[in-house]
Amino acid sequence: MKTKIEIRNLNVWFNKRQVIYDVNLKVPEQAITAVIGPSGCGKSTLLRAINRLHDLIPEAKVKGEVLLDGKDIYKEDPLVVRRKIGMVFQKPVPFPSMSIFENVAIGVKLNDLAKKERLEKIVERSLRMAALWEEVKDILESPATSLSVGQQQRLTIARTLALEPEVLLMDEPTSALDPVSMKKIEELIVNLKNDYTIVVVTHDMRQAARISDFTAFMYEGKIIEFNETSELFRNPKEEITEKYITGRIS
Amino acid sequence: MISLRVKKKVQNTFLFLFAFLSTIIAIIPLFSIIFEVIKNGIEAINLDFFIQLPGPLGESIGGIANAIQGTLILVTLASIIGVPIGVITGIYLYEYGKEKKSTLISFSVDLLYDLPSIVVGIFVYITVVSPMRSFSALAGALALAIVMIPIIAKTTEESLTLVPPTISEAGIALGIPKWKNIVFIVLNSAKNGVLNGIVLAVARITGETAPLIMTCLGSNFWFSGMDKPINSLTLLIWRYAMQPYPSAVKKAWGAAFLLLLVALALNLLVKSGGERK
Ligand SMILES: Nc1ncnc2c1ncn2[C@@H]1O[C@H](COP(=O)(O)OP(=O)(O)OP(=O)(O)O)[C@@H](O)[C@H]1O
Ligand SMILES: [Mg+2]
Repeated sequence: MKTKIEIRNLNVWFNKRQVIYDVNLKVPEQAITAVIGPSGCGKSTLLRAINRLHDLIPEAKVKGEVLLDGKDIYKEDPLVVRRKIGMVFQKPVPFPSMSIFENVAIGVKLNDLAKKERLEKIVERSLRMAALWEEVKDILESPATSLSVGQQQRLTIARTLALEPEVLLMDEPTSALDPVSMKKIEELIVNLKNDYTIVVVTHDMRQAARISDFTAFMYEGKIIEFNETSELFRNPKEEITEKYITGRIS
Repeated sequence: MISLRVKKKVQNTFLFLFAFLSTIIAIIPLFSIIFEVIKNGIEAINLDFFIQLPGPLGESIGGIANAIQGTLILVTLASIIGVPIGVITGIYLYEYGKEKKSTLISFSVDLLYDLPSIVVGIFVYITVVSPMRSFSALAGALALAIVMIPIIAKTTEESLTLVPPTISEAGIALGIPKWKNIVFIVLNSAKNGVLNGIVLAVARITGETAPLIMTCLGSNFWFSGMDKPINSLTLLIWRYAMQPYPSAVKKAWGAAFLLLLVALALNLLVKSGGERK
């Protein structure tokens, strides 16, 4: 399987405190890779290093390489990197003053990526991919905040897809949602893997087992084990992995 | 047990009465002012009031049309200058306000905010009126713009600060360039607060008198150019209320009534804006 993202010797510090230690990881193309691990082990920090969100935080320092198709994203234009590598956050954050339509269109608009006439097509296509089109096609001009939380999360996925990224990073995309919405988004993620490389951070080991092809287990800022999901859960190589998946550490 | 309860109840009733009475005492002067303005103001209102020049002092004909025109021109011009500068300053304070290099700017804004507006008038008198050797509409508008800027800058900064950081982050994660993100995502999310600040600033300068006395003086004629003196509602009230002629005093009451209506309308606008979001 082809590698889409390769992380090499990645270290991250906040002020003087190191939270990611020498992480190496090869994320396969067109597959779902789950990142699991106890709270505070650095999952979000790792994910945010992959689309250069740490650039915004003055006290964050990143060392190491993140290669997208063999090229280090830290040597490219961060704006282009973020368009290619989209991010979906834990809590859905629709832009509150904008309509559903504008929420999906805004990234494309502000990046001057498409003419006005094409916007409608892009919005429809993105909403369809996010499995939201049927529910909102008649209320595109309503405020995005009028949607339910589960719909809002699919809206933020559509917003990210509108930029036609190559990689989707998702940080606990279902942890703020009810079980029905969670199921919808899980199905959606599985459908998206034909076109995208997906990395999902999750607290929920059963979710990782349900949807992912590969799983990385993180502990105290290090990747302890990385393997095919079924293999990792059935046959953990490290003792600490086994302890975690059997619920003996949390 | 019971006596304790009774004591509590008496205490509560007493406190309530006290609060109620205090409120009444505070409200009475307010309402008596409003009542006086309405009572005396309405008598002054007729068609001529809106379309005629004041005419010679002491005669009971004429209106205050040039003061209405003047206030509209001054407030519009001041807003054209003050709103963009105020909003941009607010954005700057939001983005860099906590850094050392912007201490001077945030300090200046605070100072300007607390500055008595007559000082602004003196400043513009020295820097604009004196060199131009003439009171002028331009000088008046500049003075009002300077009064506006810190109000708008502060409300803009506050509204931006209230936008959750996750929203700004979501915009950045879409690859939107920093400044576009601030303007089209963060400022856009805060637009109700920003608009309210602008309306409040407009309400404030519509009622300003002191900076205008020193900059555009007042006039008995129509607007005749940016470099000429201009009248305003507040200037008219200031001059006419002190005249011995009842007709002049009546015009001043009429103008006060008009200002009251404007203030009321602008406040309602802010209220309804607040409820929208
Ligand atoms: N902006 C920041 N400034 C300082 N420290 C931070 C910052 N963000 C995260 N950290 C610290 O880095 C460590 C890893 O945090 P991170 O959010 O990556 O963990 P996580 O695995 O995602 O946890 P969770 O499962 O609770 O989301 C934590 O100790 C956290 O306190
Ligand atoms: Mg996290």
